[in-house]
Amino acid sequence: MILNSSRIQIRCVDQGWQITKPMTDVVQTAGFDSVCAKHRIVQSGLCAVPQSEGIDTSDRVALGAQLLRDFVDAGL
Amino acid sequence: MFAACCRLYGKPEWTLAHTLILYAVLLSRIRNAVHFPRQLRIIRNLAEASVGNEIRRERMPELLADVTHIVVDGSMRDVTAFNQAQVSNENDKAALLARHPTLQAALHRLEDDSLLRGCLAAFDLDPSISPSAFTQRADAFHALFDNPACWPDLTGALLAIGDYSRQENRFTGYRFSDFGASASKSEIPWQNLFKGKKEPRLVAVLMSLLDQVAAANDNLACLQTIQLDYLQQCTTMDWRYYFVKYIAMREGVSGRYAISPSGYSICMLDKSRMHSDYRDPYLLAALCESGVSATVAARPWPWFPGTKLNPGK
Repeated sequence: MILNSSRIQIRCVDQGWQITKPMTDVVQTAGFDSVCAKHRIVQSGLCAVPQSEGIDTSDRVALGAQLLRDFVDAGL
Repeated sequence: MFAACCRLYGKPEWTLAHTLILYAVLLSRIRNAVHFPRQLRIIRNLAEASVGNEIRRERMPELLADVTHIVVDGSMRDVTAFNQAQVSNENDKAALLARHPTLQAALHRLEDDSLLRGCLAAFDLDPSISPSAFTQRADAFHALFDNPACWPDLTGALLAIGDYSRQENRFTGYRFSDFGASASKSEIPWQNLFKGKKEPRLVAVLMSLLDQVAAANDNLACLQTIQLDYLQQCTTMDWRYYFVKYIAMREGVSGRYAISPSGYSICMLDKSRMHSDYRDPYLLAALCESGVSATVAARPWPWFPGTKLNPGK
């Protein structure tokens, strides 16, 4: 999924949600960094879902929904 | 049948399967076959299961010989050209009816169902089953599958009991899994699920569900209960958990999904091949759960091109 406003790309991967940030706009970058900090998104762009032996122990859909809301609320 | 043949022979409406059935009728008249209604039913079932594969023009001599064996000899022992999975299913049905003749009406009604089309490979036909249990399962089947409005809950309840899908491994490491239709009213995905060789997992899950529905006196509210009970006892969340919890993930029109070994990378196909657009059920469910408008996503959301197995991109 690519967000219209920011062109942020969101993918579902084995470990969680993979976020790719293509934009350079300073304001948007600040918003992006804020969301990343809240969701502990690491440098590689991975928003990891807690897992045990490769199986989720937290609901990745609920996490993805919150992540999406936060991106949209941040104007991204 | 003869009138239809006179009217339609040579046209697309008249198929080779029709020719086989007309041949069976003529043979029964010539040979004065005693058990013809049952034999005709068997030939109809075999023809239905063999359309598109075993029934081909160049195989007609062998198929006509099979019809002769069934009508004249009253035996399926030498039937080799029709679909062999269906031959096996016909033998299982015959063994069940030999033990429990009173089940004939219930069994025939199942055979005549438009989703089953003569194939009962998804049913437990073990002759040791009690007649009442079989009849209750048959009634529960009709209560569920004659009511497309309940199919979204039906697929959720089936998955809550177990992975009942027919599977086909792909060279990419993914597998195709067919679950039947949930959101669409199309019967074809269910027909594809129920036909073919016997799949023990499908039989076990379907029979378990039918027993639970029968125990609830065919009250379909039990479908919700089955799903909720499953979700409550889950301590980890594999793909099946998400499919049960989020109805949006079961919206695929074809009922076919390409699933990675981990289960966290899935293509929800609206058609049966990967070379068509697909949706990512996890992303779709996340968007639905978020309450955010779908317009935030750039087109072609929610579709992704299906030329490679890389869902969610």
